[in-house]
Amino acid sequence: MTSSTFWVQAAVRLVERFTPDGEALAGDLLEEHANGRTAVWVWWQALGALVAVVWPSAPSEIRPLTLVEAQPAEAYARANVLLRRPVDINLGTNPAGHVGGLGITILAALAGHRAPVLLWFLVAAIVSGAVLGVIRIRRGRGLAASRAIVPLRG
Amino acid sequence: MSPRSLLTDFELMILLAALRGGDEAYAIQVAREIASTAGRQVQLGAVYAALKRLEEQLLVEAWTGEPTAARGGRAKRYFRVTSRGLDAVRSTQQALVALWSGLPQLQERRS
Repeated sequence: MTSSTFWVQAAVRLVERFTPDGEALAGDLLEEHANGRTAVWVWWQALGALVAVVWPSAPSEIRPLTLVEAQPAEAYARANVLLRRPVDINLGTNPAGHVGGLGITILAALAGHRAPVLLWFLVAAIVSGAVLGVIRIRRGRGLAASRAIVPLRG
Repeated sequence: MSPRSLLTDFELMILLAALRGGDEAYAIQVAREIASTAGRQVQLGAVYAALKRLEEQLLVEAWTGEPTAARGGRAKRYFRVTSRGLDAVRSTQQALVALWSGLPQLQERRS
Protein backbone atom coordinates (compact mmCIF):
# COMPACT_ATOMS: atom_id res chain seq x y z
CA MET A 1 0.00 0.00 0.00
CA THR A 2 1.45 3.38 -1.04
CA SER A 3 1.46 6.35 1.30
CA SER A 4 -1.19 8.12 -0.79
CA THR A 5 -3.46 5.07 -0.77
CA PHE A 6 -3.05 4.75 2.99
CA TRP A 7 -4.18 8.35 3.56
CA VAL A 8 -7.11 8.01 1.16
CA GLN A 9 -8.24 4.80 2.90
CA ALA A 10 -7.95 6.53 6.28
CA ALA A 11 -10.16 9.41 5.09
CA VAL A 12 -12.67 7.00 3.56
CA ARG A 13 -12.93 4.99 6.77
CA LEU A 14 -13.47 8.17 8.82
CA VAL A 15 -16.25 9.28 6.48
CA GLU A 16 -17.84 5.85 6.45
CA ARG A 17 -17.77 5.64 10.24
CA PHE A 18 -18.93 9.10 11.22
CA THR A 19 -21.20 10.55 8.53
CA PRO A 20 -24.73 9.66 7.52
CA ASP A 21 -24.76 8.37 3.94
CA GLY A 22 -21.14 7.46 4.71
CA GLU A 23 -21.05 4.50 2.35
CA ALA A 24 -22.17 6.54 -0.66
CA LEU A 25 -19.82 9.41 0.15
CA ALA A 26 -16.91 7.02 0.74
CA GLY A 27 -17.60 5.42 -2.64
CA ASP A 28 -17.70 8.85 -4.29
CA LEU A 29 -14.32 9.75 -2.76
CA LEU A 30 -12.74 6.48 -3.92
CA GLU A 31 -14.19 6.89 -7.42
CA GLU A 32 -12.94 10.47 -7.67
CA HIS A 33 -9.50 9.45 -6.38
CA ALA A 34 -9.38 6.72 -9.04
CA ASN A 35 -10.30 9.40 -11.61
CA GLY A 36 -7.28 11.49 -10.67
CA ARG A 37 -8.23 13.51 -7.60
CA THR A 38 -5.41 13.87 -5.08
CA ALA A 39 -5.32 12.55 -1.51
CA VAL A 40 -5.40 16.18 -0.34
CA TRP A 41 -8.70 16.69 -2.18
CA VAL A 42 -10.09 13.51 -0.60
CA TRP A 43 -9.10 14.72 2.87
CA TRP A 44 -10.55 18.16 2.20
CA GLN A 45 -13.87 16.58 1.27
CA ALA A 46 -13.75 14.19 4.25
CA LEU A 47 -13.07 17.00 6.73
CA GLY A 48 -15.86 19.06 5.16
CA ALA A 49 -18.27 16.15 5.60
CA LEU A 50 -17.23 15.69 9.24
CA VAL A 51 -17.66 19.40 9.95
CA ALA A 52 -21.13 19.25 8.34
CA VAL A 53 -22.01 16.50 10.83
CA VAL A 54 -20.80 18.55 13.82
CA TRP A 55 -22.50 21.76 12.65
CA PRO A 56 -25.45 20.97 10.41
CA SER A 57 -26.54 24.22 8.80
CA ALA A 58 -30.08 24.35 10.01
CA PRO A 59 -32.16 26.41 7.64
CA SER A 60 -33.79 29.38 9.31
CA GLU A 61 -37.47 28.71 9.74
CA ILE A 62 -40.10 31.27 8.91
CA ARG A 63 -41.83 31.88 12.19
CA PRO A 64 -45.23 33.45 12.79
CA LEU A 65 -45.41 36.85 14.45
CA THR A 66 -45.95 36.82 18.19
CA LEU A 67 -47.97 39.28 20.22
CA VAL A 68 -45.07 40.80 22.14
CA GLU A 69 -47.24 43.32 24.00
CA ALA A 70 -48.89 40.44 25.86
CA GLN A 71 -45.55 39.44 27.42
CA PRO A 72 -44.64 40.61 30.92
CA ALA A 73 -41.91 43.26 30.96
CA GLU A 74 -39.30 41.01 32.57
CA ALA A 75 -39.83 38.28 29.94
CA TYR A 76 -37.29 39.92 27.61
CA ALA A 77 -34.63 40.08 30.32
CA ARG A 78 -35.32 36.43 31.25
CA ALA A 79 -35.12 35.31 27.62
CA ASN A 80 -31.85 37.17 27.09
CA VAL A 81 -30.34 35.60 30.21
CA LEU A 82 -31.29 32.16 28.87
CA LEU A 83 -29.75 32.94 25.48
CA ARG A 84 -26.49 34.14 27.03
CA ARG A 85 -26.04 31.35 29.55
CA PRO A 86 -22.68 29.62 29.12
CA VAL A 87 -22.64 26.37 27.19
CA ASP A 88 -20.25 23.63 28.26
CA ILE A 89 -17.90 22.73 25.43
CA ASN A 90 -15.49 19.87 25.88
CA LEU A 91 -12.07 20.96 24.63
CA GLY A 92 -10.40 17.76 25.81
CA THR A 93 -9.20 15.08 23.43
CA ASN A 94 -11.35 12.50 25.12
CA PRO A 95 -14.98 12.27 23.98
CA ALA A 96 -15.71 9.26 26.24
CA GLY A 97 -16.82 9.64 29.81
CA HIS A 98 -15.10 8.09 32.82
CA VAL A 99 -11.76 7.73 31.03
CA GLY A 100 -9.18 10.10 32.47
CA GLY A 101 -6.27 11.85 30.79
CA LEU A 102 -3.83 9.29 32.20
CA GLY A 103 -5.80 6.45 30.58
CA ILE A 104 -5.76 8.24 27.25
CA THR A 105 -2.02 8.90 27.55
CA ILE A 106 -1.28 5.25 28.31
CA LEU A 107 -3.48 4.12 25.40
CA ALA A 108 -1.74 6.59 23.07
CA ALA A 109 1.70 5.44 24.24
CA LEU A 110 0.79 1.79 23.68
CA ALA A 111 -0.72 2.53 20.28
CA GLY A 112 2.26 4.68 19.33
CA HIS A 113 4.67 1.95 20.35
CA ARG A 114 2.79 -0.51 18.13
CA ALA A 115 2.28 1.85 15.17
CA PRO A 116 4.13 5.20 15.39
CA VAL A 117 1.96 6.71 12.64
CA LEU A 118 -0.97 6.72 15.08
CA LEU A 119 0.81 9.38 17.14
CA TRP A 120 0.39 11.78 14.21
CA PHE A 121 -3.33 11.05 14.21
CA LEU A 122 -3.40 11.86 17.92
CA VAL A 123 -1.53 15.15 17.42
CA ALA A 124 -3.83 16.05 14.50
CA ALA A 125 -6.89 15.21 16.61
CA ILE A 126 -5.68 17.38 19.53
CA VAL A 127 -4.89 20.35 17.29
CA SER A 128 -8.06 20.14 15.20
CA GLY A 129 -10.18 19.55 18.34
CA ALA A 130 -8.77 22.69 19.96
CA VAL A 131 -9.27 24.76 16.80
CA LEU A 132 -12.85 23.51 16.32
CA GLY A 133 -13.60 24.17 20.00
CA VAL A 134 -12.37 27.77 19.77
CA ILE A 135 -14.38 28.32 16.58
CA ARG A 136 -17.48 26.89 18.26
CA ILE A 137 -17.08 29.13 21.31
CA ARG A 138 -16.70 32.21 19.11
CA ARG A 139 -19.68 31.17 17.01
CA GLY A 140 -21.78 30.58 20.13
CA ARG A 141 -20.96 34.07 21.42
CA GLY A 142 -21.84 35.61 18.08
CA LEU A 143 -25.17 33.79 17.97
CA ALA A 144 -26.03 34.80 21.54
CA ALA A 145 -25.29 38.45 20.73
CA SER A 146 -27.31 38.40 17.50
CA ARG A 147 -30.28 36.65 19.11
CA ALA A 148 -30.86 39.27 21.80
CA ILE A 149 -34.58 39.88 22.14
CA VAL A 150 -35.63 43.53 22.24
CA PRO A 151 -39.22 44.64 22.89
CA LEU A 152 -40.87 46.46 20.01
CA ARG A 153 -41.58 50.15 20.59
CA GLY A 154 -44.16 52.49 19.12
CA MET B 1 -40.30 18.03 10.01
CA SER B 2 -42.78 20.52 8.65
CA PRO B 3 -42.05 21.71 5.12
CA ARG B 4 -41.19 25.34 4.52
CA SER B 5 -42.76 27.25 1.68
CA LEU B 6 -39.48 28.64 0.33
CA LEU B 7 -36.07 27.07 -0.18
CA THR B 8 -32.68 28.39 0.84
CA ASP B 9 -30.36 29.42 -1.99
CA PHE B 10 -28.25 26.28 -1.56
CA GLU B 11 -31.30 23.99 -1.50
CA LEU B 12 -32.59 25.69 -4.64
CA MET B 13 -29.22 25.16 -6.37
CA ILE B 14 -29.19 21.50 -5.33
CA LEU B 15 -32.71 20.90 -6.64
CA LEU B 16 -32.01 22.67 -9.94
CA ALA B 17 -28.76 20.75 -10.40
CA ALA B 18 -30.55 17.48 -9.55
CA LEU B 19 -33.24 18.31 -12.11
CA ARG B 20 -30.51 18.79 -14.72
CA GLY B 21 -29.21 15.35 -13.80
CA GLY B 22 -32.51 13.76 -14.78
CA ASP B 23 -34.08 10.87 -12.94
CA GLU B 24 -30.77 9.46 -11.68
CA ALA B 25 -28.87 12.38 -10.20
CA TYR B 26 -26.07 11.70 -7.74
CA ALA B 27 -24.02 13.85 -5.39
CA ILE B 28 -20.83 14.27 -7.48
CA GLN B 29 -22.89 15.15 -10.53
CA VAL B 30 -24.85 17.75 -8.51
CA ALA B 31 -21.62 19.26 -7.13
CA ARG B 32 -20.10 19.40 -10.63
CA GLU B 33 -23.24 20.96 -12.09
CA ILE B 34 -23.26 23.70 -9.45
CA ALA B 35 -19.54 24.34 -10.00
CA SER B 36 -19.82 24.56 -13.79
CA THR B 37 -23.13 26.42 -13.98
CA ALA B 38 -23.05 28.66 -10.92
CA GLY B 39 -19.27 28.83 -10.44
CA ARG B 40 -19.55 27.75 -6.82
CA GLN B 41 -17.32 24.98 -5.47
CA VAL B 42 -19.28 22.89 -2.99
CA GLN B 43 -18.24 20.17 -0.58
CA LEU B 44 -19.67 16.72 -1.22
CA GLY B 45 -20.55 16.46 2.47
CA ALA B 46 -22.61 19.64 2.23
CA VAL B 47 -24.40 18.26 -0.85
CA TYR B 48 -25.26 15.03 0.99
CA ALA B 49 -26.43 16.96 4.07
CA ALA B 50 -28.69 19.18 1.95
CA LEU B 51 -30.05 16.21 0.00
CA LYS B 52 -30.80 14.43 3.29
CA ARG B 53 -32.72 17.48 4.51
CA LEU B 54 -34.63 17.69 1.23
CA GLU B 55 -35.40 13.98 1.43
CA GLU B 56 -36.84 14.43 4.94
CA GLN B 57 -39.07 17.17 3.55
CA LEU B 58 -40.12 14.80 0.73
CA LEU B 59 -38.73 17.19 -1.89
CA VAL B 60 -36.41 14.50 -3.28
CA GLU B 61 -36.53 10.74 -3.17
CA ALA B 62 -33.39 8.65 -2.88
CA TRP B 63 -32.39 5.08 -3.53
CA THR B 64 -29.22 3.05 -3.45
CA GLY B 65 -27.69 1.51 -6.59
CA GLU B 66 -25.55 -1.57 -6.98
CA PRO B 67 -22.06 -1.68 -5.39
CA THR B 68 -19.24 -1.40 -7.94
CA ALA B 69 -15.55 -2.31 -7.85
CA ALA B 70 -14.54 1.23 -8.87
CA ARG B 71 -16.11 2.45 -5.62
CA GLY B 72 -14.40 -0.15 -3.45
CA GLY B 73 -17.56 -2.26 -3.33
CA ARG B 74 -19.68 0.65 -2.15
CA ALA B 75 -23.05 1.54 -3.62
CA LYS B 76 -23.98 4.85 -5.18
CA ARG B 77 -26.87 6.93 -3.86
CA TYR B 78 -29.24 8.29 -6.51
CA PHE B 79 -31.72 11.15 -6.15
CA ARG B 80 -34.81 12.29 -8.01
CA VAL B 81 -36.78 15.51 -7.47
CA THR B 82 -40.38 14.76 -6.47
CA SER B 83 -43.45 16.64 -7.67
CA ARG B 84 -43.50 18.34 -4.28
CA GLY B 85 -39.89 19.39 -4.88
CA LEU B 86 -40.86 20.82 -8.27
CA ASP B 87 -43.63 22.83 -6.60
CA ALA B 88 -41.14 24.18 -4.04
CA VAL B 89 -38.78 25.24 -6.86
CA ARG B 90 -41.63 26.98 -8.69
CA SER B 91 -42.81 28.77 -5.52
CA THR B 92 -39.30 29.99 -4.78
CA GLN B 93 -38.83 31.12 -8.38
CA GLN B 94 -42.09 33.08 -8.30
CA ALA B 95 -41.20 34.71 -4.98
CA LEU B 96 -37.72 35.69 -6.19
CA VAL B 97 -38.98 37.00 -9.53
CA ALA B 98 -41.62 39.05 -7.69
CA LEU B 99 -38.94 40.50 -5.43
CA TRP B 100 -36.70 41.29 -8.41
CA SER B 101 -39.33 42.96 -10.52
CA GLY B 102 -39.79 46.71 -10.50
CA LEU B 103 -36.35 47.51 -9.11
CA PRO B 104 -34.72 50.23 -11.26
CA GLN B 105 -31.35 49.55 -9.58
CA LEU B 106 -31.25 46.09 -11.18
CA GLN B 107 -32.23 47.10 -14.69
CA GLU B 108 -29.48 46.76 -17.29
CA ARG B 109 -27.74 49.94 -18.28
CA ARG B 110 -28.02 50.66 -21.99
CA SER B 111 -25.38 52.89 -23.53
